[in-house]
Amino acid sequence: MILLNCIGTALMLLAEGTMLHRLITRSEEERAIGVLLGYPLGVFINALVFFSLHLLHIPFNSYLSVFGAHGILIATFFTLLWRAELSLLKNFPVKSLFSFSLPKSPLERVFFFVALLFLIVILLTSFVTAATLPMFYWDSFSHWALRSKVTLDAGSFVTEGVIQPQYPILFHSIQMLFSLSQFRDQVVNTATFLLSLTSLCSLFLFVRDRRDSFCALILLMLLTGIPLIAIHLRQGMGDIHILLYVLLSAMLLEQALTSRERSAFLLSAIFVSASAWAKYEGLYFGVLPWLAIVSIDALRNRSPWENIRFGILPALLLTIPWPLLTLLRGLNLSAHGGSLAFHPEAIPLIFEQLFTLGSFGIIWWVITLLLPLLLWFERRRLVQFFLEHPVLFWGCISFILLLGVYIFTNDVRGLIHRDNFSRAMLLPALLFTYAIGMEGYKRFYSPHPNLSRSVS
Amino acid sequence: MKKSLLLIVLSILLLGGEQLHAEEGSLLLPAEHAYSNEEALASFVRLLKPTPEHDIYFDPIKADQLNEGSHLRIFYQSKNPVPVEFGPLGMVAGDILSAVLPPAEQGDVLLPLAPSPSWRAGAKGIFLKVYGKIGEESRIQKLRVENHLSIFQRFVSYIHQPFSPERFTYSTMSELAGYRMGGASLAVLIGILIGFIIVLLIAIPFFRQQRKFPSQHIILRNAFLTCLCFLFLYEARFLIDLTAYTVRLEREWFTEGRLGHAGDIYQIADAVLERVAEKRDTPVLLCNPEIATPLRYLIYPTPLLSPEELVNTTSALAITNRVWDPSTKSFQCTDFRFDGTVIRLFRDGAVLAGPPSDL
Repeated sequence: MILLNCIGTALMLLAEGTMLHRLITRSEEERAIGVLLGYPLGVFINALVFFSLHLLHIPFNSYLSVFGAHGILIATFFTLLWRAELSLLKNFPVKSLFSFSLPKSPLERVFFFVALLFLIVILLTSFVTAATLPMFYWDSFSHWALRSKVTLDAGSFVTEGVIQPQYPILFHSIQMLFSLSQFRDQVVNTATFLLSLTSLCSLFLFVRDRRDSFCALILLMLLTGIPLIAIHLRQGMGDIHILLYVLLSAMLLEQALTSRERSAFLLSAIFVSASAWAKYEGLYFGVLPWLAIVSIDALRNRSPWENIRFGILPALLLTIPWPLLTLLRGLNLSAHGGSLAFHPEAIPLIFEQLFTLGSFGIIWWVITLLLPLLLWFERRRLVQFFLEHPVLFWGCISFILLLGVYIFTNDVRGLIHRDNFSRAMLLPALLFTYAIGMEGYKRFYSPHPNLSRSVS
Repeated sequence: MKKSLLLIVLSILLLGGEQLHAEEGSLLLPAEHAYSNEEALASFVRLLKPTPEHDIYFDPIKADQLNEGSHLRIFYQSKNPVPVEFGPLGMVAGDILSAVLPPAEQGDVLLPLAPSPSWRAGAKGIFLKVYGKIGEESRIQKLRVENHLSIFQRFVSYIHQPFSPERFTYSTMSELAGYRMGGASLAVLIGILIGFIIVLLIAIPFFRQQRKFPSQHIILRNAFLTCLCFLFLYEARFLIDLTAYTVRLEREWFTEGRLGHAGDIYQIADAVLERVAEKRDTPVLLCNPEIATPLRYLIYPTPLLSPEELVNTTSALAITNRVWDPSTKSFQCTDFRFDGTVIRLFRDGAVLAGPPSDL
């Protein structure tokens, strides 16, 4: 019964998100990836549903209110699809979901199968941990999962009895949706693992369609293979979901800026907003850099209206509600405060955490070696290079912002007490890895990447 | 002649440490690398079985004036076994080693420092944490650091160090300590090696082709391939630990109902919930605040009271620790005692106690 309930709820979110994706893209080519993006989209819609119920003072601890709201949304999406004569299942390209090509050279095959093995180990151990073990980490006990229990009990987003009531609600909303009958750690962890899994699979399909299966697999292995990411994939906290939403937004933003596709723009805006509903870091290091990149692009292309209509406006409209409610309730947007002061003691600690400890493995060494090399080769057209690679640009902005936060504000405590610095730095690490991986793969096979750019 | 000289030098280098060790009369104990600090402490508690009157304590000793060496020699006196944690001074917290010294009138033990990945030859000073029971204190008479490893044995120790498993604790979500070799971070060593190889791959063609740099494409290709190889190697190392950790957790959970560093907490919560299910809305008094956060989550919405919150409330259930005898009738809760009956004893000395009449 629990399993059926869990599967049914997951399928509902998947269907909701897939319908929304289909309505936005209306493209036949995007249908396969649309199914995988459906779950992350559905999870975001669910957060908005819980938020709306809270605003309307409708208690969300009953099946009727929550599933009623979802039912209305599904019916609306279905009607819109029907009126637009868009089918969800008819002629669905099942083959494109499972089409993989093996590399031809023996060395590449070795890398391919080793990466596949590593990926299976990471995902399998994460799934087994999420699906069979109870909550395990301190922050899950003290904040993440406890807030879900307290909120579900109260039927609204209360400020009493929870540690950080200003924190956004995407993570808690999905936990509550799967726990309306009973809160079970394994069920909620599986539900959030599914969010990570579908986001990663979407990323795989996206890269596969733009490069090939080999590149997609290696890149996925590099991203999930960062030790702290592999740990966070076991669920229990919200950080992994900011990272994956930002990554989905980044890959779609790159597509939007190169192809000028409105749907990619809109989806990128939706995903970056979703990251801000997972945790406030998504707002500061996701939404703000995203707005900066889209604004620069608007000024550069002299077509600001398109960027505003399909990017900036939806991103702001979808992001603002929760921070606004938080401010109206008299709470701070940051749980840590934010007084300004120079903290030189942070600098050696930053080097220690990025380069010597085990949280990142050797990924920051690789970034430090490859990024300057890449930038040196592009030194004559550096600005152009950054504008053509928004993910890299985003990585740089978020990295600089994070350094600023930890060196110039009292958030330095998170660095000194080893609380949150490494977790925060996962965002630029993933963006850099993705950008360098994509660009590196292109240059690995093409001596003239600038000529082949239009092809890719 | 040269060959035999070389052989003599080699045998001194290789066997020197062993010969020195054989001359001494001390007891060589194995050093253990616990999965986490919490688990090491729990095993010491199980060993010493402290009580509220004779609680567990530890003496931290930082000896920075000691010579450099590979082994820590301890002369001591104790009626009870003496659990110790030790390692080189300034080590990464996760590299601390542990051992249990046997009870002895005139104890003399030798503890190897080299299994700690923070150890390197030439580094002075040690850190030692001696555990015991109040009222039954052990006496550390003398500490000495001695060198018992030949150059070859030191080399072997360095090779072993990166295979020391990663520690997974409550704070693993925020930070992983990583691997070390000879006191240096493995990530730093690999990073420098990657940089060196990339420079080499640029320099070799540069000098071979009349001081002409290879093309950008070749440089990037070599750099990417080098990085990829090392990323795979590091990943392989980490995945061994991650898999072993997962298997260990699964086994513990499904056989004992325990979970790594969280210890008995899930069993305590289950026992509380079982009792509460019988008598609804029973407040639960928690006397050991260190488990308050996980327990509050696990038994939610059952209220969990601290001794300070107990005013005007009659508590029916209490959780305290340092109890080993199921027939105990009187329990300590911070600074007051109460009478009750043991409902359930847990492995690490925690107890769920009910009212005196409750059987």
